[in-house]
This record gives sequence, C-alpha cells and structure tokens, in this order.
Amino acid sequence: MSIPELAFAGLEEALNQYVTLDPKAAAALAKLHGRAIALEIAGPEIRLFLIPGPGRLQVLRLYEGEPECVLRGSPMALARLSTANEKAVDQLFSGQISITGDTELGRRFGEILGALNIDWEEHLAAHVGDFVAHDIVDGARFIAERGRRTVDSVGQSIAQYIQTESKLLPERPEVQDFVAKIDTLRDDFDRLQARIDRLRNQTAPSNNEK
Amino acid sequence: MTENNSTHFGFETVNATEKAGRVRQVFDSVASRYDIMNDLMSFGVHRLWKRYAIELAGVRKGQKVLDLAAGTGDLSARFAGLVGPKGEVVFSDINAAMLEQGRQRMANDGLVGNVRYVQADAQYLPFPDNHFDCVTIAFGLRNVTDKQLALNSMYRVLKPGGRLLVLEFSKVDMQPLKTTYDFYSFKLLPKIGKFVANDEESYRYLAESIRMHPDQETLKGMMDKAGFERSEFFNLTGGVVAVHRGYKF
Repeated sequence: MSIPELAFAGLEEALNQYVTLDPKAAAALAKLHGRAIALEIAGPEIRLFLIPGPGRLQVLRLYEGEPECVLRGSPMALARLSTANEKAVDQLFSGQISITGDTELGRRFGEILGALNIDWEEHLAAHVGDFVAHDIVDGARFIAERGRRTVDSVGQSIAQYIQTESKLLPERPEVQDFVAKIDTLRDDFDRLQARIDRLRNQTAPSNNEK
Repeated sequence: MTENNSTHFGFETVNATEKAGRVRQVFDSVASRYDIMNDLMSFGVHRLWKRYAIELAGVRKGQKVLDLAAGTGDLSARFAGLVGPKGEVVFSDINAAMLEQGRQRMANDGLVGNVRYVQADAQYLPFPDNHFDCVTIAFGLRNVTDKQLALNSMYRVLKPGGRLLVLEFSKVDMQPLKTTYDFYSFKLLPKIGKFVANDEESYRYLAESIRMHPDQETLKGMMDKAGFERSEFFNLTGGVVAVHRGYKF
C-alpha cells in the first residue's frame, strides 16, 4: 500500500466532511449516484475518480470503467473550483478547466463542489443542542462581524500602503494576471514539447538509414 | 477441514459440525461492537485495506455484487455507491445479529433501493449459477468451516468474466513485524477485548483463527483448485493482510 493510497483516503474523508455538513450538496450528489467523474490535475498529472452516491462521495485512485466526464485543469484552477467565492460555472466555461465527455454532468458536479456551503450552527447543534448552538453562533457572528470590520479597516489601510504607496506587493488583478500567464506558459510549453517530439519522430527514420 | 472431519476453531481442533455454532457464538457476542473490534485489531488500518480491495474489485455502474460475511457493511456501502441505482448489491452474512447491524447501518447511511439482504452460508450459496459480476468476502473466509467448499460455491455463482476478491488476515512476511504482531495479538488484544467488550475469549479466538488461516500461497492454490484463473495476491502491511483475486472465464 502506497502513500498516495493514504492521501486519496484523506482527501475522500475531507471532502465528505464538507458534504455531510451541507445537506443540499449531499442531496445533489445523491442524484448523481454511480456516475464516474475523472478529475485530472495538469502539471503533476494526477488522475482521480470521483463517484457520488447517497451518503458518500467516493474518491478512487483506480476505476476500471470509462468515466462519463473528465474535468481537467491546473491545480490552481481546480482549487478555485471548490471555493464558494467564485462561480464554478465561470471557471468551467472560461477555458481554465476543460470538460470532456458528458458536459452537463461536469457542469452539475462543478456547481456542487463550488457551492459547498457549511452550516456551522446545525453542525454545532448535534453536540450542544439547538438553543446553545444558536447563542454560540449568534455570539460568534457578532464578534466575527465586529472583528471583520476592524480587520477590514486596518487591512485596507495596510494593503493600500503596501500595494499602492510602497509597491512591495502586487494587487489582486496583477496576481490573477500572473497566474493566468503561468497557465498559458505551461500550455505553450506542452505544445512545444509535443512539436519537438513530432520533429524528433520525423527525423528518426533518416538517422536509421545512415 | 481434515480427513477425519475435524477442523480448527482457533488453536483447538473441533468436530466440523461444531465450528459453525462456536463461530456464531463469537459473532453474536461481538456484533454490537464489531466496528470497534476491527479498529482495535488493525489500529484503524482496516479502512485502507478495504479501500484497496474495492479498487481491485473494479466494480462499476450497473453490476451485481455479492458481499459475503458483510459484517457491518463497509464494503457493501461502497459497492452500493459504485453500482448506481440500476446495479445491485447483495449484503450477506451467516450471522443474523451481524446482518441486522449491517442493515441498520446501511439504512442510516441512506443506502436503500439497490441493496438486498440475505442470510446465507458461504459454503452453500442460495443463488443461481453465473449470476454475479463480483463476489467479495472480507475477513470472513477464516471463519468458514470448509473453505474449499465455499470457494467452489463462489466460483459457481460468478458470471464468466466475473472476479472473486478475498480480503483476509494472512502470514506476515517481515520478521521484526511478526514478533511485535504476535505479542499484540496474543497478549494485548485479548486483554483489550476484556476491557472494551468484557469478552476475552472471543478476542483470543479471533487472534488464533488468523494464525490457523491458510497462508498466501496455500489460499491461492485453493482458488486455482476451485477453478479460478489468473489467481494472484497482494500483501498489505507486510502480509498482515492479503487480498487474493481470481477470475472466472
């Protein structure tokens, strides 16, 4: 048994933690029961298979059937897919993630991953009861909101100084542009590699003739 | 099973007719704490072993799977997810208490609709010939009285092209690990069993039955004898456990 086996098991547990905390996502995944989706991570070239079902999203290293849909993207693009602050559909159709096979299945699955929404109050209630959970979450929300405002205000001032005045760090659009350029460079490199391989194959017979 | 119709119950030699009853007593006793028992016996690694077996089983949408000695349903639950609503998983155990534990767990996990429950003896499977795409037995074969008879029966119910997966404790092939493993199994495990389940004897049987189970090569030979082709085994955790796989063509 290899380390990747352990990593795949860990990834499955982590994903299912999110799914169990979000009944809407769990119900949506149950509707895709038994359908196999391959996720290909470009760069490290990792392929994993995700099979949704009632109660569990299985993550497998090996799957002997043909996946109905393949989602392929750079680690960065796939990571953004599973965060709720960007619309998953935008990711899917902007070319950062390619879908082959059943595109409707890919779109639905991408939306579920993108919309995983954790209801902390419900989760807490299982341990301490509804009323206490409500109070805790309300209190936490109040503290978080006050804290967020303070942090936002201080953060904005600091960010403005570092990015605009001192030019020590890039701004968000600059980082996004940089990440996109890296993705483009990777694609260019892959194409160049393929072209070199093709040329090498074309010249190979003439070498043999010598 | 030996020539004079005797067999092993742990390190004891008992009459073949006695074994099933004694095994039933053990599992009646541990059924409610079966998952804890598996975690104790394997330090939780049984989940990874089962994952590995699932991947080797190669089960996919629409297939029919027979999960023997299904216990509390770790494999069945995964198969029910993989075969989809049009596939079928038969959750089977010889022990009524285990079957009931498993049924409750599956229902609680929302796994209904494509799962059937059958109390069956692996030696005399009550299914038609050439019926299943995959048959599995995880941590169950060592408790069967006549293992060859059970393997023959599994072969019969498999479709041509189908495969058998046997996940079972096996013979450790690393000497340093063997010493530690023996100490844990025979000295510590029964004590933990007494502490957790107040049942030292059942846990002692479980450790002894592992040692009396055929080693990797012997079991592979038994599968060949039953008619399986391309039989092979995969040692996990230094041979503490092995997955045997064979095909019916």
